Amino acid sequence: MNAQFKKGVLELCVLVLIHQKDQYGYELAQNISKKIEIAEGSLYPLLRRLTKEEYCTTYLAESKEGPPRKYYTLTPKGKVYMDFLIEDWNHFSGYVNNLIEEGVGNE
Amino acid sequence: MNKVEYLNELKSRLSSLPEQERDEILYDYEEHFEVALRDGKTELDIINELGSPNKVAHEILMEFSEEQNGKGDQSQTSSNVARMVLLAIALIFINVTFILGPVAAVIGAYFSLYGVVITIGVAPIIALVHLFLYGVGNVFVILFSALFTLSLATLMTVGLIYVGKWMYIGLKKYVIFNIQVVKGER
Repeated sequence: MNAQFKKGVLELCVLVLIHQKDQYGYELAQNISKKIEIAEGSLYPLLRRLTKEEYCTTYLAESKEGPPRKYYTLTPKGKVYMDFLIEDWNHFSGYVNNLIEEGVGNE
Repeated sequence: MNKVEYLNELKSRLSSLPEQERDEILYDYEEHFEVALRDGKTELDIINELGSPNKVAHEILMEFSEEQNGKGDQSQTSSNVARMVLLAIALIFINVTFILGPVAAVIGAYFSLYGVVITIGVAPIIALVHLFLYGVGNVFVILFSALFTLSLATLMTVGLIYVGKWMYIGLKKYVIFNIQVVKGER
């Protein structure tokens, strides 16, 4: 998949996942790479940007084992942004599916 | 490559970032390793999933430079304006005190040479008119000197046109140079 395109989709996926529940980096990486093939290393620059843009905030939480984990949680601003991206995605994927149906649907 | 090597490699590739920023980023990857190891993965698995330190560092630096660009734009333009105003004032000062006088003198001298051309071009014509109307003066002397001064005037005109062109080009270049200095292109 095109790298730039994937980057945008990855952003949407991350927002939806932390909207569902607060997650730490590794957890997010696992949840995403279960469905989409990504270089998990690119997740952290993305999370860092989302935090800087105040779409999410972080907090440290102790875990039963190992070091404390940095959890990411969605802010109200992030929720608005997520809704906007979802709408964008729905339009976009709708058009693309339409094109594909018209193009190769009758073969 | 193992975990320590991976993190060291990443660290060295991020050496251009502020220290605090870099430590925060590296902490995320350290945590990732820790948690994944507890999850039962090997260091090699984790590294393969993360992608090469080179690629990861590249993405981090890209995000960082985009951020800096977004932030830097406004302050940069305002400081640019201040710099341009200061430069313009300095240039005006230099031009008025040191350049304007000599340039005006040269231009004045240049145009006065046209005065000379007109004088030596017109003088033989007046002499010829006098010769034919009133019979004043020696025909040969006047014809010869008229030929001489008229050719001289023609040559001087041609020369002055060239000199004028060079002066115009030079002046234009100087003005453009000034504008470029103010705009910060030089």
